[in-house]
Amino acid sequence: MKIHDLSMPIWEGAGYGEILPVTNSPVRFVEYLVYERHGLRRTLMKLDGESGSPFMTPSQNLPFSAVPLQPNPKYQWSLSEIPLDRLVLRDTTILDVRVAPGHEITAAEIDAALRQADYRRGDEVLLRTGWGSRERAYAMGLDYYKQTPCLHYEAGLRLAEQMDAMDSSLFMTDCGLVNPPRVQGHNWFLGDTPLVPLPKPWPSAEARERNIDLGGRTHASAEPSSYGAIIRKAIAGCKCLVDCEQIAGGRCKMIVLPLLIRDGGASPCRFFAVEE
Amino acid sequence: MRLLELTMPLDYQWMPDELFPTATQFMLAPRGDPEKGITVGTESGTSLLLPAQFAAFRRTRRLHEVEPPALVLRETAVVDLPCDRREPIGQDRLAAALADADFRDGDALLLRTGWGDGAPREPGHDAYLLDTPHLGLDGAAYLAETMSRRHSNLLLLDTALVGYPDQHLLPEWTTLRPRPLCWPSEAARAYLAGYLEREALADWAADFRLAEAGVMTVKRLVNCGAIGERRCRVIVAPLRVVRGIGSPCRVVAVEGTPT
Repeated sequence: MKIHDLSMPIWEGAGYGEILPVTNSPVRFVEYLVYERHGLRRTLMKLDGESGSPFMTPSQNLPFSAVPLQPNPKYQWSLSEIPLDRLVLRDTTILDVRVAPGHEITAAEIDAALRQADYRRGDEVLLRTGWGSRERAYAMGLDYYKQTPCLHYEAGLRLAEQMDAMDSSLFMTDCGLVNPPRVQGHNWFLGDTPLVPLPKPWPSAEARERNIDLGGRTHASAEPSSYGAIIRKAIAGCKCLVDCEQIAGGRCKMIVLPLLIRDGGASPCRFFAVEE
Repeated sequence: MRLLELTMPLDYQWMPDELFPTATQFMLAPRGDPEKGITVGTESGTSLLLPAQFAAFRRTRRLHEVEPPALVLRETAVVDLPCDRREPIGQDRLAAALADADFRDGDALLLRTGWGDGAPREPGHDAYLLDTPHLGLDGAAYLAETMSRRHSNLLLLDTALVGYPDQHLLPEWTTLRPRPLCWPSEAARAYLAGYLEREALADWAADFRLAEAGVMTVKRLVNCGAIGERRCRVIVAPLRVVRGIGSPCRVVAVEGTPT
């Protein structure tokens, strides 16, 4: 049995916490017991529900708001309500869509990948582009997210339909963002009027202004959300997985364990692929 | 295959483990709040701590370096040690319990005292921490020696603490009235300014002894009474913190053959 770790590491200043104004706030560590003074270490870790490789339920803003990101989601479990057997040793199909940096995956490319995949009823889905790697994330910083492959809306719809038909409930990908960066970062780091220099994220003054402008939406683009299409049909959406190339075959079993936050909506998560 | 949740939920309204100034208050904050997101400490809730938590072992592996087989589907022996409140677990009790367990080379060890199932964890109680059974120093030394001999380096406990900080933290901090808040309160800052290496190592001597033997520890398991077999596999999933020395974690027991 081989076990592969597909989890994006967490470190202070990681790009995923710096690229967007509101949805993913920065990772900060406060060391309050330190080796040289106390002989041991203890750390306060300020994270976000989208830090690292996140696990995000449809009602991502739980426990503070039960309103789902999209109306009428198929599943409405909070983190502490998801049965363990929906998270541990889940049969998973790998959808391989090898594309260039920045490419927006199309519905036709999803169809082609579905034809190639060994996709069985009840499988979870791991969309593998080859983009996600620790080394790339460490080296590229914010560009890791600006240049990530992603899903065009039509592709998101197509995949959501298939997942619904096949009783799949977990969507995982090694893309840095599911929505195109031009959508997710519209008029923040891309778009018609990106902000230069790029402001710090929440709780900066600029991020607060953006939050006012968004009025509860997750991005400023008029284009629909490909992530939104998928999350309507899933227990959770999971992005920023890394090093998925370790999986040799087209199938594996996934162990997916977010923090057990009572009534929580999203959390950093560990992803392990198990191959016989 | 049977899956069992052994993790104490992280509760944004109240956690039973935030008594000491060395603990961080677990917080969730909503969109629009300056602290939006998740604030956790190294040992919030069910947590994994590596030997590198101590300066003496800071050159040993960190969280991002722990290979998956050390934590995932790890063969585990369940050791039954029913304990009274505040009982220090010593060498004799451990030797007897280990003799009854099916402990094999390379196993992780899960010490089941029953505290994680029956202890008071309701808001307002501090008994979960103060009254927890714990390893005595001779018990920790015995475990360290025995586990080293059996090539075992992962110890899981259903107690609130591994050792018991009765040299300084208990007499000096828990007697303060009204009870100060944990980190990052001003009172915690003030106390930790004088809580130096000598005091810390005196309080956490049992933890240090295990770290010296290279043992990773997971504490604050719950629901261990649901494990029906003498052996199981455990999955321990901490945050993958770069150069981290410990983290809250999710712990799941797998009974039967993983399928």
